[in-house]
Amino acid sequence: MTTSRRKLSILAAVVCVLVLVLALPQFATAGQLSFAGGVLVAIIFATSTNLLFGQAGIPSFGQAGFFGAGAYATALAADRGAPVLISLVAGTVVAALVGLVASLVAWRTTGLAFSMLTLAFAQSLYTLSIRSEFLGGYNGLSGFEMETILGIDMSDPGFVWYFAAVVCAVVVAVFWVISHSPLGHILKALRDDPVRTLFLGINVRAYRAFAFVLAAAGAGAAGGLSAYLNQVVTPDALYWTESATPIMMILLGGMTFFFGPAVGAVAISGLQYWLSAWATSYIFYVGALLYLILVFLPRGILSLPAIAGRFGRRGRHDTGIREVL
Amino acid sequence: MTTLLTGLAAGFLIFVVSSGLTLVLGVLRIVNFAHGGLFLLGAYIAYELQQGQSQPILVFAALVILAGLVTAAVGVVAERFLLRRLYDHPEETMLLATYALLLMMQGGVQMIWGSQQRTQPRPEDLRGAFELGGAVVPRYDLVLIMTGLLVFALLQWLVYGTRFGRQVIAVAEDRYMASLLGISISRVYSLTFAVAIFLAGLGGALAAPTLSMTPGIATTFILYAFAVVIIGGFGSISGSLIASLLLGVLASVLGTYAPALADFSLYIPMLLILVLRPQGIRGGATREVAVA
Repeated sequence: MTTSRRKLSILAAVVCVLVLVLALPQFATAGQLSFAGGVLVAIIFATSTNLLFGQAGIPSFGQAGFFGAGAYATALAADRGAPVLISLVAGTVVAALVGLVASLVAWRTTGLAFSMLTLAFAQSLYTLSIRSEFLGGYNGLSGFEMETILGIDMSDPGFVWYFAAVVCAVVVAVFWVISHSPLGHILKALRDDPVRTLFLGINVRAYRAFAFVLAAAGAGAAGGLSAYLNQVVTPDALYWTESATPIMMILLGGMTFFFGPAVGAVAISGLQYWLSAWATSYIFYVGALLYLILVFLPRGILSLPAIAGRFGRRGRHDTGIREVL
Repeated sequence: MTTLLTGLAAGFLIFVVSSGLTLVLGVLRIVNFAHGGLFLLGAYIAYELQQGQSQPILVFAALVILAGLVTAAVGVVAERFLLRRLYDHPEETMLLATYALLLMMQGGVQMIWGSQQRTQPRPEDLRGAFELGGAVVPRYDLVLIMTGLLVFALLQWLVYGTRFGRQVIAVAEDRYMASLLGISISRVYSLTFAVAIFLAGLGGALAAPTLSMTPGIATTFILYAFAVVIIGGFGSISGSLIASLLLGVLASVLGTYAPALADFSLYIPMLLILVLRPQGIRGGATREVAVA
C-alpha cells in the first residue's frame, strides 16, 4: 500500500469513528449508551495494559488491582465533594502509586513467577476492599455525587457519553505518544533482548518499573471512568479474573498493533453483551473463543488484512527465538 | 492444639492440589490455570458419583479415587488435543491457553450442574470428632492428613525412586539434552500431566465435603495453589508440602486469634518469602532471577 493510500484509509477510519461517536446518542437507548460507555472503559484498560504486554513484554496478571484502585480512589474523592475531573485525576494518580508499590514487590522475579506475583498482589487488594469498612466491604461504594462537570449539568446521558469519549480519546492519545516516543522504543528493545539493552547502558529495571507505573495509571483512569459511568464500585472489579479480560482483548485485537487492544475491547465487550443475553454459562464460549484465537489467529484480528494480502503464502513467523522442540 | 490440627488438615488438602501444579510447572514449565478447573471438576464428579448422599467409608474412598481418575482422563484428553500443539509457543500463550481451559471448565460445570450452591455430606463414619490429648479433632481432618502424607510419600517415591522419576528430573533440567538421550519428551509430559491432574481431581473430591460447592471454587482454590508454588519454590514437592502446611496452619491460627488478618494469610508469607528468599523455601538456583 502506498503512503498516500494508507493515509487516506486512516483518515477514513478516523472520520467513521468520529461520526459514530457523535451520532450515537441520537439513535441509541439509554441502556445501549451505558453499554457503549463500558466499551470505552475497556478500550482504555486494554490499550494501557498493552504497553506492558505488546510493547515491553511484561506479563502482568494483576491489572485489575490498579483498575480497582483507580475506581475506589475516584469514588472516594467524589464522595468527599471533589469535582469529577479532579476525582478522575485522583484515581489515576492513586493507581500509579499502587503500581509503584506493586513493581517494588514484584520485580524480585521475572517471567512466570512475575505473572503469579502480580496476580497475588491484585488479589490481596481485592481482599483488602472486602474487609475494609472504609471501602464499603462487599457492597462497595455508591451514591457519590458526580452531577456537573465544569459547571455543565450532566443529567443527559448523551453528554455523559461525549464526556467519556473525550476521556477515552485523551488517554489513548497519551499512550499513543508514549508508545511512539524514545521511551516506547526502549521498552521494545528490552522486550526483545533485556541483556543487550542492559549492556547499552540502559537501566532495564527502572524502565520496566516506569512502564509498569504508566500502565497502572492507565488502568486507574479506566477504573475511574467506570466509577463515574456506573456510579458504583464493587470489589468484583478487583477479582483476579478481571485481570484476564484486558489480556484477552489485547490478544484478540492483536498485541503488535497499537489499536489492536481497542479493536479487541470492542469485540469482546460486544460478544459478552450478546452471549450473556442468551447463554447463562457464557464464560464457556469466551474460553473456547480465546483458545481458538490463540491457535488459529495468534496475531489478532488486525493481522487479518496482512494474512489476506499474503494469501497462499505462509505468514511471517514470530520474531522471538524459539527453543528446539 | 485443635487449631493446629485443623490447620494441618487444611494444609494437607492444599498440598494434594498444589503438588500437581508444582509438578507441571517444574517439568512442563506451564503455569496451569486449568488446574483450578480440574479441581472443580473433581469435586463435582465426586458429588455426582456419590449422588450428593453420605456413603459408607469404603465406597467413599473408592469413589474419591474414581473421581480423580475420571478427572485425569478429561485432563489427558485436553492435554493431548488442546495443549500439546502449543508447547513450542511462548510462555504467555500457554498461560492464556490454560486460562481459556479454566473458563471452559467453569462454564461447562455451570452448564451441567448450574450455579446454585451444592453440598456433599461427609461419609457416615467420618462425621463427628474424637478427643486426642485434650484436643477435639474432626475425624475427616484425620483422613485429610493421612491422605496428604500418603500422597507425599508416593510422589517422593515416584520422582526419586523410579526410572520414570529420573526421566522426569532429566526433562525438567534440560529437555533438549533429555531428548538426545532417547527419552520421549511427549510421553514424560503426558504422564506428568496425568499424575498432576489426578491429584487435582483427588483434591477436589476430598475437598467437596468440606465446602459449599459453586463453580467459583475453581478460581479461589487455585490462588492457594499458586501461593504454595511461590512460597515453596518452583517444582519442589517438599517445598510445596512445607508451604501448604504453613498456609493451612497460618490461616487456622489467624482465624482463631486474629480474624481480621485471616484473609491475608495467603499474602503475608508470600511477601516475606519474596523479600527474604525470592526463589522460595526449597527453590534451587534454576528459578529465573530478575535481570539487572
